[in-house]
Amino acid sequence: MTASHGPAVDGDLDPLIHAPVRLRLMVTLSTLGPGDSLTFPRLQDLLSLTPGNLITHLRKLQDGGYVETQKTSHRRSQSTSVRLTTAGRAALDAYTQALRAILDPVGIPPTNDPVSAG
Amino acid sequence: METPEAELLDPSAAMDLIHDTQTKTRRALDVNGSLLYGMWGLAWLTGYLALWFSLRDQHTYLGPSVWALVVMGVSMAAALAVTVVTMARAVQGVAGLSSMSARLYGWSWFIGFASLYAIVVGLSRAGANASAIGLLAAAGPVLVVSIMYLVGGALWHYPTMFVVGAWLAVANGVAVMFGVVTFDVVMAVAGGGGFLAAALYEARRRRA
Repeated sequence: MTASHGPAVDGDLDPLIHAPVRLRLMVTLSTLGPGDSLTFPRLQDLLSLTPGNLITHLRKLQDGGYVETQKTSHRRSQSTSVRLTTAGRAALDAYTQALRAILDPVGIPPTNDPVSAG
Repeated sequence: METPEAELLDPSAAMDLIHDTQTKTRRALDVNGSLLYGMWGLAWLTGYLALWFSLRDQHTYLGPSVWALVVMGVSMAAALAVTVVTMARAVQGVAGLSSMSARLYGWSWFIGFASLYAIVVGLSRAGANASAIGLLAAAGPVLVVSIMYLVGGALWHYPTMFVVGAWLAVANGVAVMFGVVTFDVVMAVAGGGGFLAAALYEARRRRA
């Protein structure tokens, strides 16, 4: 729920999420169950990104507190796994809500006043 | 210099991107149910028919022949191999709570069958006759499978899996009434057929 009462605009969209690669990254991670993570290579494979590109965007999301990475070692091989934080999941939900509000302003039901005249 | 990515993404394109990414990711992380049900359907059909062919002329019950047990074993091993490879590919790189419950679920199969094996051995030692042991050795595994399917379907919200489990439980209860020989042909048709029906249903659902 946003504090602004005016019509929803593009400016309401979280700039950290509102970019093609980062949006795909966030959505891919959100498809996993809460507390689940994906290893860096699998994430790269799912998103069809170069390692450098993925690292750049991951770092931005990590700085914003939306994702966290964890180094794990399994049978002598080191790997990094990535997961969405609780804040990241909430931010993606808020972003999706804001997007819906922009795309369908009429479809948003009035909260307190069911007989509000248009 | 900051790349003007945000300008490239209008809201409706963003919404499409969300849906496309969700669909693509779910498909990549999910297993192809129709392939697995199809494999198990063929394995049950082949395996139980082989058992039935080796039993149907026995006037006194001696148990399935070696070749029938080999056919059953190879069919089940093939289906299991496809299942393990398919699942391992789907969950590759996924870690956390859900992969932990998947691992424990995998162990539950093994523990269930090991316990059943001990029960069959125990009954045999207690002097149960061949056809009674044969009946338990036939219906016991189906009971384990049906319960695992019911639980798996309930845990991961796979309605098809739950329905297959319920169907196998009912088919098992009916088949066991026909005795140790006819059990196998009933299970070939009802069990194998049930899996194949689930495979067709999943294939249709996937295409939709």
